[in-house]
Amino acid sequence: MLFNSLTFLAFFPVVTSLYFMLPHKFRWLLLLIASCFFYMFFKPVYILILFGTIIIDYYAGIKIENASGKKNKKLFLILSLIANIGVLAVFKYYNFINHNITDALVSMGFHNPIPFLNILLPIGLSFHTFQAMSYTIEVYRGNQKAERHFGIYALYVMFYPQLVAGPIERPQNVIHQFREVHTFQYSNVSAGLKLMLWGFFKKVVIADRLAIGVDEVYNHLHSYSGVALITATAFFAIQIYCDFSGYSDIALGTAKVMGFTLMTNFDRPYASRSISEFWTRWHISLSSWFRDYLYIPLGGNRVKIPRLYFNLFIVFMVSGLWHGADWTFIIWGALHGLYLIIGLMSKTTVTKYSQFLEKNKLAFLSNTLKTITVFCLVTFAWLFFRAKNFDDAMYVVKHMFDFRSFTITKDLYLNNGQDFFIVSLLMILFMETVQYFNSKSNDFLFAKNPSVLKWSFCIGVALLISVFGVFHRNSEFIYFQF
Amino acid sequence: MKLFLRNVTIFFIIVFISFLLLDKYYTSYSLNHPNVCEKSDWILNHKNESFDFAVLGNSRVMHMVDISTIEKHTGKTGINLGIRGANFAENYLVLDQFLKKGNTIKNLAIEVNMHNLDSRKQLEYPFHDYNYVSYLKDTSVYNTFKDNVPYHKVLMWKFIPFIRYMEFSNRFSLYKIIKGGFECKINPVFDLTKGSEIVNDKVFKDEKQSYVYWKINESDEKYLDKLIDFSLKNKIHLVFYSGPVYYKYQPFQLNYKNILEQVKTKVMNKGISFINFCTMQNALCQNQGDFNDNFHMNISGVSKFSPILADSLSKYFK
Repeated sequence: MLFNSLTFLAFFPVVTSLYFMLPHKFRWLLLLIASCFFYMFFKPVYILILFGTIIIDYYAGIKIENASGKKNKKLFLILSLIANIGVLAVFKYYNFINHNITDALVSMGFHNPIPFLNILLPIGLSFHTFQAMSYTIEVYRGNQKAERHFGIYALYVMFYPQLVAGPIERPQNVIHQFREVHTFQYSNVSAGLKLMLWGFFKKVVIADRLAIGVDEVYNHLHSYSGVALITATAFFAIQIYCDFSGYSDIALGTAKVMGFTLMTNFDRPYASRSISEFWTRWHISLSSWFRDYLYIPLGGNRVKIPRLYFNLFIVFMVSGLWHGADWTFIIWGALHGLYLIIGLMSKTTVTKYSQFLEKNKLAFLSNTLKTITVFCLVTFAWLFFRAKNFDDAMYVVKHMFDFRSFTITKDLYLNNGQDFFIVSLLMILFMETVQYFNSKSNDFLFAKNPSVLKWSFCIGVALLISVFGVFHRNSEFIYFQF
Repeated sequence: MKLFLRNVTIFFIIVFISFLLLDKYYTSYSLNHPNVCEKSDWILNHKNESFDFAVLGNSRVMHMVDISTIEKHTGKTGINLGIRGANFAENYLVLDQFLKKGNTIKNLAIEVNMHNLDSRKQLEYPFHDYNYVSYLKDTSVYNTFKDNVPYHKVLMWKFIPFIRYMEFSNRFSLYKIIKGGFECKINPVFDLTKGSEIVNDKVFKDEKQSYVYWKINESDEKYLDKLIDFSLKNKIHLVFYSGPVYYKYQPFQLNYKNILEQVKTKVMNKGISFINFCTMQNALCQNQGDFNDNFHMNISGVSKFSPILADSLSKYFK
């Protein structure tokens, strides 16, 4: 089920009302059934895979806790990780690996006898697999007690607001919340609904609007060059942010209405002044997952410099692979790894120049330059993420600085008319202004302001969604495919 | 809980009132400022005009019938009511609204082909609902929508104000309204050709052929019958015809001869004439140079077809 669908518009109030009406002891069951219903809307049969991994990890958690000695605990952890990564490998990476093997064999004049699988990727597979893995790892580390209630554990993996696109939660943050009694609280419901409204604004007004132009260019790449490619890629950077952070806002808001607090996934990432800061503000639940479960176990930054660079590069390559089974995603991850390494290498020089500018009361200039640089670097990497394949990505790289022909309708409006461009820019400006003032005053969506201002803002956003929202495309969230 | 319910109620009342006002404004604006680049808007922009004849159908009427040639041959005034990708339901809706605007037609030629007899098979979006949402208060428009658009959508569009314009915000853009209107206020091409859009491109667009089995779709047949009944009720003299299709394309269209025969029998039983130009042997179907693609003639083909169509129709026109 999509958050931006009519079905969800009916599903959400029904489930939430039932949740508050039911006695506490039945609420987990209601949420579990609702989550199954939510998931089965995409492709019902895939719930079996999900339940398969849930059963394995549920028992693995108990076995890890009960096992005597570190060696036995490790054995059960490894079995659980193999099961989870195995599911990912079959459904997500099998055809990709086989495709590469085929290419290699064909180039040597051989035939690849291994068949390809004709299967669809279960929706949100990478998200719930990583969430499940974090449970067994935390039980192994002793940070979380093994959950004995099967329903509660299943709900931890399947909780519908964050089931298909995160945030990738940690068991310590969520499991105890399913046992707590949540009463109807005006502050939670109001904050949750406002967050959902803001998420819908980002998704329906900005992301889906920008997608029209971005899709036009990336689906007909060879008709475009120069400014059009730059505009489309920059718009994609905003689109993917609004799409994914919009989803996260709706997820957090949905959970908040029922009294659950999920982790924040985005914190104005394009305001970052370095790539390392960007990764503390973008898809925080995933970057912290990689930090805790891959980067630190590899030695983190308590290693020699070459090893540190290697660790960073590997972590980001894997992060790219997590997103999708294609070389374009691997390159996207590798580019970010490279950015971080170069960032570390040039840290002293950059700091020296920043201090010089700050001493001359030019701190604003220094910060702006840094923010623009980060945005340009991140946007350049996004083109690999958006391109359908490596050849398309290389076409964009080769032609994005070809400025021989320029027409406003084609290069700025992306053949979608002036209203597409102007309305998009105005809405982005509105979003950034709101988020900027909210972050400065630490006040989400003007909650601390007088009622009139607070409510005018909400009604205003609702009307902006109604008038400028794009509803005819039935567009999924980009991150659902992962 | 009380506070929440009170605030939510106030919120929804304010949003609902805003929707009501926006709906009123958008409806009045779109009806008074049609985008006449859109064929349906151009047709429905006519008021209190009289035509001796009109030709109705899909792109094969819009692109293949040259009204001025027919006018020259018959000495009668006409209009091309063909709309690209339209099914009979849309044709019915347009004709109904066209007449409700005080226009009159004496003779109506309706083109039938496999695409509009089995519209859902070939056309992804055979009923262009977004062009008529402003007319939804009209009972016949509402009933046509009920048959061609998912019912829950029609109910929402009808009873929740402004939702219909939200759904098609790309067509009903507030920005365009503020800037002074939708794309076209006048359409000199349609005004000159009386709704015909003859394709000048003489390069034949060949497509890979595959066998398609055609049958008369129940909904299309229903609206074909409605068109006949509606025209007869409004004392419009009817003629049916099927235009030329490139002969090499025809063998791949399985059962198309039978469905045209079925329509012919149906209309002839009601005393309506049927002219068939869509046969393997018809001279108009032979020359690839006369076609833009297998299914549409180009300017060269239209210059041959229109005089023949004019002569044929003139025998039946009153």
